[in-house]
Amino acid sequence: MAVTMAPESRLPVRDDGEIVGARRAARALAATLGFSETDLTMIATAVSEIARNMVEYGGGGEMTFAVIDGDGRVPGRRGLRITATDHGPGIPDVERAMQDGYTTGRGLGLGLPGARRLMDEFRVESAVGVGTTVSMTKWVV
Amino acid sequence: MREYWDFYEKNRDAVDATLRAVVEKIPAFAQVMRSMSPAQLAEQEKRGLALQRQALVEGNWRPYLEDLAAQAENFARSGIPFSTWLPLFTSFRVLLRGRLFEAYAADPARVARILDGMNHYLDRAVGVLGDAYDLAKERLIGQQQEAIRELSTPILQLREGLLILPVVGLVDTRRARQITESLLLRIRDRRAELVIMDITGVPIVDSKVANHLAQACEAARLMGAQVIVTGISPEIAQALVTIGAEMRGVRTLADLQSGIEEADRLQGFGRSKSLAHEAAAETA
Repeated sequence: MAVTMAPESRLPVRDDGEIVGARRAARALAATLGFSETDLTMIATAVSEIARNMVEYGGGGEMTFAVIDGDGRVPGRRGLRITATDHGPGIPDVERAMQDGYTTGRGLGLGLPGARRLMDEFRVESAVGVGTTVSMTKWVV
Repeated sequence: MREYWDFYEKNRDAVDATLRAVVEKIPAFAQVMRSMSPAQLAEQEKRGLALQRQALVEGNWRPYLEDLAAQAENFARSGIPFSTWLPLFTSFRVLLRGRLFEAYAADPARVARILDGMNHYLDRAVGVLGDAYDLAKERLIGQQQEAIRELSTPILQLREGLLILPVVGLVDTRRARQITESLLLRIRDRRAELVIMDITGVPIVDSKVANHLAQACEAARLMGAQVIVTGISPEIAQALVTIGAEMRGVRTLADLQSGIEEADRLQGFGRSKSLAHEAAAETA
């Protein structure tokens, strides 16, 4: 299976198979940046959590993987930014959704808070009836 | 398109006869034709024509397109490639265009209208055909995935009462469900009291997979069997702790060997082995 090695790639995430694809793509791109094995697993796990949320609650969406060069504060620092967008029902109370154990489905309610802890930067923007965008970054230490 | 249809009806016998000759030269199609009796062929042709008329004259396309899609799916399933169809469409276009220019050489506007109608109709048919092929292929892939999943979850009986379930590859919701199902059936069939689930070969365990595995263990417990999960890699252990899915209540051990040693102990084999050692020491 071909995994794109381009600095930015965009993948649809609509079912279990595509969750796997997103995970692989994130891991492959992150590996080129020199992340440690543990970080690679963390990134893949975060992608997995967010992708599952998208499929389960957002009716599917797409994920973009981009290499970031320098973040303003630390010049030359490289990182991986993952942006996940769906056009699902949106999250009425983002703050609550970010708490451990809060779920509207049958999961553990660890998806968003878990992914936030796995990544260095994490932002959720959501509008009811419009959709949700999760943007998360991990920096190479 | 109505004009196209009228023209086609008028030339149908001649066009279809030539087309049949083209079909017979394509081995894959010829084989299908030979597998049908002349009566069946005539019946199919009649039905196809009625559906086409319904589409092109009355504008009711659905029955025709559905029939076309069903046929295409059959062809796709019997391994006839999509490209096999294209010479047929090309021949049809060329044939009809020739007759059209012959009939209405003096009326180019009319020729153009009928050609447009024909192309519109044919493109629509080709599109449906292509989609049906896609769908058939997707279904096939789905079935194969199902088969691979089933094959990739062997449950081995190591000895009386002890099962080993090595999980290899990616665990998604469907696979997790399938693993749980076959695990529980096996526990019942083999009257197992202990199961070692080895996940060394699972690259990613997210909260959902952890939850699935924990639930499988819980269900096994209700059936009177204890599950020991082995093979959680250092990376996965860190990720699980970070997200907060620690799989509490699930007995875990570092690797398969520790799992088997623990099983020995729990089933009393460890003790009898050490007893055997003592006995050996005494006689020495």
